[in-house]
Amino acid sequence: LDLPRSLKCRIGWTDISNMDHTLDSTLPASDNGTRWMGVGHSNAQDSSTAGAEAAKHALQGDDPKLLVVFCSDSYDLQALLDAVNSESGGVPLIGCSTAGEIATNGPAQSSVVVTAFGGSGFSVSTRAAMDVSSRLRDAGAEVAASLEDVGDRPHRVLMLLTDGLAGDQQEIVRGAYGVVGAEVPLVGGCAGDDLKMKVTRQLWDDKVLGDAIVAAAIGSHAPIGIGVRHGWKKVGEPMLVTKSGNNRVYALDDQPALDVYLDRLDAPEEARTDHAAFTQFALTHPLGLSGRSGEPHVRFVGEANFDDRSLGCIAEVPQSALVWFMEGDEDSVLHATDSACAEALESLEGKPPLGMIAFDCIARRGVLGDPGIVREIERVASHADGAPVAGFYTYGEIARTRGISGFHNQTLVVLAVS
Amino acid sequence: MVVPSTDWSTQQLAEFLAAVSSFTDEASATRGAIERAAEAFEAEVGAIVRDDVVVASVGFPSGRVPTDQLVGLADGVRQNTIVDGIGVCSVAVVPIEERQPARLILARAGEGEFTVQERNLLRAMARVLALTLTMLERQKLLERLSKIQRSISHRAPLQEVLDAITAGATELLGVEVAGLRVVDPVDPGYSLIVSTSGVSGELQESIRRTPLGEGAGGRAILEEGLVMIDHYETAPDTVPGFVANHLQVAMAAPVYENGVVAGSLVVASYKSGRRFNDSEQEGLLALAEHASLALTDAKTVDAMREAQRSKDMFLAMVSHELKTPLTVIMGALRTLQVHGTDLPEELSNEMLDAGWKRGKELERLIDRLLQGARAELAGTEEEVRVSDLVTEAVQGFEHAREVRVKDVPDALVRMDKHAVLEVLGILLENAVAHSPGHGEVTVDASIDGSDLSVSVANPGSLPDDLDPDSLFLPFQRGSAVRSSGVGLGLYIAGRVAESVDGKISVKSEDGQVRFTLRVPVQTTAAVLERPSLP
Repeated sequence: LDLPRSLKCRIGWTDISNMDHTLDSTLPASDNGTRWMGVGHSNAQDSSTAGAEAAKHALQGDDPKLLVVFCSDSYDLQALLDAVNSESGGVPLIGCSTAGEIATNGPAQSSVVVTAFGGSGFSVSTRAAMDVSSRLRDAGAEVAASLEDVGDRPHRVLMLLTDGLAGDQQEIVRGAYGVVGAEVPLVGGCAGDDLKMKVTRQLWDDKVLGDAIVAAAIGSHAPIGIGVRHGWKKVGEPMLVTKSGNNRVYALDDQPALDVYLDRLDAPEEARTDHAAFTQFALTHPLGLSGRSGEPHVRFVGEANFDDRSLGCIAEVPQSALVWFMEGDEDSVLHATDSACAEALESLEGKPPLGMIAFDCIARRGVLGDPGIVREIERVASHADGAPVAGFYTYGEIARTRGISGFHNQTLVVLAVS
Repeated sequence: MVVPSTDWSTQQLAEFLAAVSSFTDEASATRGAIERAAEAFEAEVGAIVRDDVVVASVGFPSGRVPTDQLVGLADGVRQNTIVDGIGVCSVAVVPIEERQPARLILARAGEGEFTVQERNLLRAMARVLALTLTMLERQKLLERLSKIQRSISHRAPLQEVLDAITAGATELLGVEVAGLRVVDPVDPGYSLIVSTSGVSGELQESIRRTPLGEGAGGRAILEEGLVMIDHYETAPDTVPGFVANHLQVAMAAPVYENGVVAGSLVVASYKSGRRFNDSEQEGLLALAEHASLALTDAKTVDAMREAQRSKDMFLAMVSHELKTPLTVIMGALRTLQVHGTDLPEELSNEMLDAGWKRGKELERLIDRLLQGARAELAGTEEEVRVSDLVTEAVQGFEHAREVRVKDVPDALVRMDKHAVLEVLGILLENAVAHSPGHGEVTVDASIDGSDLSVSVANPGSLPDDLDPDSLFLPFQRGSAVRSSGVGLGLYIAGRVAESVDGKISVKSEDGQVRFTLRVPVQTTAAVLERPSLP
């Protein structure tokens, strides 16, 4: 049985040398075994120190089952990982580099956040697939096989952390879906590299990987909820994708896609010649695809090729599709935050969350700005109502609960665990 | 600018078409189609069911596809069902092809039924899938057929060609068993199996020889038409060996030899519920046609070998030599006639090209046969300078290979020039075809008393156990030959040489194979200059 809410506590943790360190954890709940979640965050500059601190603060209960590590790629990732493992004694681990980290006390950069799942109420299995860019679908299926090892728990979820620069992420989701089927939801995100758009890293036990997918199948006796929202709206007239392939859009309305994009959005001069300026501009100017119901699908434009005048996306923009420019403002984006949290919590069948993990698109930060994202995480934390919050800023989000499409852009995906 | 349609259905269909037509094989097109349809309709699970078999599905955990439930949905008119792990789902079922039992099924969580517009869109998607599959099937068939055609035209041994046909049949039709039967020459009331694919040794023995009226294969021979047997285990007149192995379904098409039914090509499956659709029937008939071509062609070779010592030799030789390229030309024309517009451009060009080349070959063969006949009949002698003779002989070969002429006496002789040129032409062609890489072909000549000797040598060697005389028998070919001939060249050369009382000998030494034509001539002038010997 769940402990009364009043008996749960959030343990604040401060450090004289660095006020930014936090620790959150909840006391064990018990139906069919105990379950607990802990989150530790550190922005220590030294990689080993940061890893050790965050891990130590996350590991607040007995019988830890899984560590999930989100960290800046500015660290020496191997040193960080070694420190985490030495703190945990080798608890199964998945993780990735980010475009910013999220902890209960707010968003951060150049830091590390570690989430621990523990107690006999959870059963966990992890897998990693390497060299995935040439075989995304098979690799997705490969890691999804981890689900076989978590036993016949009534509630299960497959968490995927992928290399968003490795190709059409929908193929990974399709591959994983082919193995786990409609019964088991998928959740996760694409690793980041602080918007450099060059190389992202995936972490698995004591290994730092690239061009990889890491996954954790989590089985539990209590409900797990997922919420998905973006809050963007279609604006203006649609354009026809007249040529696309390999995640690139080459032509819109039979014109070079980049020129149509820059001209119709009246892009600033520097975005027309400078790659970083373009990416910054494109963050708040995604493309939208129509769906049958609900919110339109958003496609994040990551970069442009100034030579062949094409746009690079993180997932397929189908040829012959109609696309719209999308618009979001602080109101609509924050409203989506509330809706996503509410949706995730709704699936917990009235149970309070042990913790929440947010997979938040880096592009939302472009709209909200730094003060806005602080407000956003405050809202997530208030929905968590005392339970710890972890997460990271992603290059793409994975959430499949309904239908078979499970890859999103410009979106907030919230995982709530009871 | 044309304003694109923003209608949801139109838009979804356009995207579906673009996605599904980009797949290059049936399996990924089928699976991709279900996925894209499920994505469009926000459905959780989807499947294609044909003949009580789930051909492909998405949304079910691997290894846990509820076959019975899906087959039940494909048959019925139910609007909803309960899917394990999801709960109540609304269901849409549409046929993939007219008059075919295949169905595309989608199930979506919740009780909100598929609207009429959604069902119509799904129906259109199923049609797109059917067309894509037909195209892919046809393309695969054509690729396989052209491979078989090539092996026939390259004169692969008959058994190899037949095995390629049965192996092709299992692959193309996705069945476990294929076999080729021919009428038993000893007792035409029976048929013998001559090639199989997917048949175990033990079973092979039990089905080796069966009465003509038995099984799909035997019946196809008797009825001279396509025969299909569903429910094989309970059907009458089946092959006991297959019944014992629980064969479920079989189909056979007759195979002809020179227009007379000579056997049958059979395919069969152990999968329950498996049926053969129109395009699979068409595929088997096309393969059977090729088996007919191969048999007809091979029987001509046998006839040729039989006739070796008989008066029919020339006729048989001519008919065989003409038939080889003709087989290819007819095959290509037939394929273009039947499948013309469906063929990928590359393939049709390849076929036209092969046809044209074989046509040219035919032209050359006819010329040669006529020349040969002329040489044999006419035998007119004329005065000719040896060096001019050799120069004329090597003309046309310099392009193909470096041909070096050395040690040729500048003598004037009287002889049957055309016969000698014919022989030298064949020897040169043979040398070019048998010299590896860029090896040089050398020609030299000498006069010894009243005999003229002309040698053509190329780098290489003859197998130690080879009887040199056997090279001059018909249908002898070296192993590393690049010419497309059938091994009649040296035979003709020998015959022509004999007609002018000459003889061809062959020697293999010092890394060279040397053919020498020795022919009596009348010396009409003194040797003007004899090159100094080394």
